[in-house]
Amino acid sequence: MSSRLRIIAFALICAVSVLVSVGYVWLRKGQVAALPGGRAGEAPVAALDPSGIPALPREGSHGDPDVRPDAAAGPAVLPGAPFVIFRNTALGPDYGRLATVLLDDVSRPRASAGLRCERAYFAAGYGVCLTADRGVMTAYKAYLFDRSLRLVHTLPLKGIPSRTRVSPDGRHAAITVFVSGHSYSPGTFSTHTEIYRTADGSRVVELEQFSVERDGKPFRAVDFNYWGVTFTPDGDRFYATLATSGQNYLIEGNIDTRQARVVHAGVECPSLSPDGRRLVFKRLGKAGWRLYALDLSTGSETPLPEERSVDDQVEWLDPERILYALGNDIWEVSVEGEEAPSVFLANAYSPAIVRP
Amino acid sequence: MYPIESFGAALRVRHWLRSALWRRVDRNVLLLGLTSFFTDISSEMVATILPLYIIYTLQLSPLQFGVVDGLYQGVAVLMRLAGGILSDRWQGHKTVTGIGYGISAICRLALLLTGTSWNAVAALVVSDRIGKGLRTAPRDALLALSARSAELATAFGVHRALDTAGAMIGPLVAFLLLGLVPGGFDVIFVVSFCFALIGLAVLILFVENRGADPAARATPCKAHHHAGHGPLRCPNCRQMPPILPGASLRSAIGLLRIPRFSALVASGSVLALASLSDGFVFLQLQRQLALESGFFPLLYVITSLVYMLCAIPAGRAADRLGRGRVFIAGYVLLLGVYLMLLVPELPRGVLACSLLLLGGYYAATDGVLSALASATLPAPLRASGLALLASAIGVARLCSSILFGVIWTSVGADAALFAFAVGLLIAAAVAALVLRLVPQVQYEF
Repeated sequence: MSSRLRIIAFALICAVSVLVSVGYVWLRKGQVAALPGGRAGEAPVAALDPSGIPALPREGSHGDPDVRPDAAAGPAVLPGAPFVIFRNTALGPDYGRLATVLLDDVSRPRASAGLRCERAYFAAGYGVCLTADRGVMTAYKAYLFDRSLRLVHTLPLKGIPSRTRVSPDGRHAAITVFVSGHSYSPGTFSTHTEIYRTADGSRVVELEQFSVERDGKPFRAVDFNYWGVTFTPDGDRFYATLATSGQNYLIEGNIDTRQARVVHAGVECPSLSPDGRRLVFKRLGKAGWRLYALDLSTGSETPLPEERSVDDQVEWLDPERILYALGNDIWEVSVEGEEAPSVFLANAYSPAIVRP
Repeated sequence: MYPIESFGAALRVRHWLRSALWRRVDRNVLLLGLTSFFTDISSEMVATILPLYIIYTLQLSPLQFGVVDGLYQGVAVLMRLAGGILSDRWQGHKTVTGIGYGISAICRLALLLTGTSWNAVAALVVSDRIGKGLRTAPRDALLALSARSAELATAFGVHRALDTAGAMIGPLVAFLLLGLVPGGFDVIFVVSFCFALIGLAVLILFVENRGADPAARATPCKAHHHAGHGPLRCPNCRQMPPILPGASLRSAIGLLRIPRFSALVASGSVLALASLSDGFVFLQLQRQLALESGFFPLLYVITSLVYMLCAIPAGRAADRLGRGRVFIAGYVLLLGVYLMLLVPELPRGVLACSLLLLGGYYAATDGVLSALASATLPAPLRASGLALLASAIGVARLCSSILFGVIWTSVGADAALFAFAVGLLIAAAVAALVLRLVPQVQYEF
């Protein structure tokens, strides 16, 4: 090839590359803008006023381009009757926002709660919303809100949001994030789990500060990773996963004494039943994560009738049934029977059952 | 008068521009640098958002991502050796480099089509690293074969500066795109592919393949013999061990019989063994500077910026003052970083200076070591030798992080840092001594 031909070929490749890039960006930008109230993902809570403690963005807030104008659809406060609050993943203006639907008929139109979250939880008047504010420096934050959807506190997070729970009494909130090496030095992930006081947003403890016992002896290693906290009904104690050298343990911890002990092995993302007597967890097998129920008094495990891989910290719908995200939907399955799982709520993620 | 004078000044400026860098640096080196520049924009764009994409869009667990990442570490070492040896065997540095860049480019596009299968994503991440592993050694060999031997370190400096510039621009482009099209990961993959394509085009269309002169292999001391010098007048030539014909793993390992090369492998490995992973250095810095986690990437950006700016000056200094000296000086800078981390209650401004030292350390060591090694390696086996050196250092780094973990667990973080500082001091002294005792052999290829 002559040098002139090479230059022409190079110019062509550059031109095509630039055209394709610009064209594709333009096309996709158009698609996003075409959605009513588009700009999905950008500025998750644009209405938050940096000064003081602002109200959460709700339907109809003035001057908020990120919130839908029709005030009728949204609740000003959360419902008084039992409801499920979740991350709405139906495509549209409310994609990624929290939404609620009453438990007595989940097929009714969902009400958007405005706040945009990657993962959320709500219990006893307090909610946590984990967000990723993507920019040149992606900032991860947790918003603590109350039942009138008022922002109580904003907590900066140290990494990519993963799991969150609020204790059934509403006093404590637990947040797990993934702390990763930056792309310049690709490394493996580790997790970071903290417990906060919901009333004032102060940090109660970081799970790394706990002293752990296993078989009555102190258990320590530098590669301890904690995640997936689930609180006991009184909010004083919790269960969580502790991973070290490739093993996952179930620990039971006491928030006041900072003591924890290993109670079971091979448990990830436990979720305690409302009565506190058993928990459902996931365990990695050959075909992905399988769900099991663990009876805390006997230590016996029962596999749940869900054959697919579930990577979620499940939520209890009632004392017999659990909810979990799979694909783009929330599924339900009974912990007792052999019944096949069914879709509980389509286009939804990160559910929390609230019985006011 | 005046216009003529200013015209003269303009001429001088032009003359300076021409002589300063561009005339010293071979066209091939600049073009390879540009290839890396575009490819790094492309790969860092994706690397920056890949964790986000995997966790939010594919909703996979980061632990799965960790498994993928761990898997590639082993693959990368094997691929690097394979790439070096194959490229020497065919004397096709450009071809193997091109295959490496090509594989990575295709992976970008394939990410669009994977859907939510995490096996597919894992396969693509691994393929991308295979591409990177394959191309590194032949590319460095081609760089070395393109540069004049007196300008080797400068050539590597130019390449690393362009490479780092690309790595800094990549994440910015990615976040710019995410700002334009929120959640549009597909946009990033498409644009990343386009950058990769331009980089590949620069390589294929403009970079010349430079293999070893076939005659050189037979008579490495040809020039001296022809000049009429007896073997006694060319004492270093006798130190040149026989090179096994053909490129294979055996011939690559046989390169260790070149005293200067094995001295470099040993020094490089010992120094790597005493170096902390930069992840830990940044973590310590972040803790001591009390920076918010959101600013964590800023540490990388500043370090990369310093690295980029210093790479060429460090290369030129290495070519003029001695590559071994600059290489050791780089580790002295790293030692300075450790000491700053160890001194309690340093003012933040002083601590921030450690980022400058860290950037300087990269500039003075990374390209310079490749230049040092290239100068000792016979041209026909240059890629194999560079791959071998990189693999040895990779293994040493792995051992270093395990060692660090062990010391940390048993004694504590500060003690581990102190132990590594002492270790680095000893390693630098040993390496300086070894590099001085085993000097560069002057032979003609």
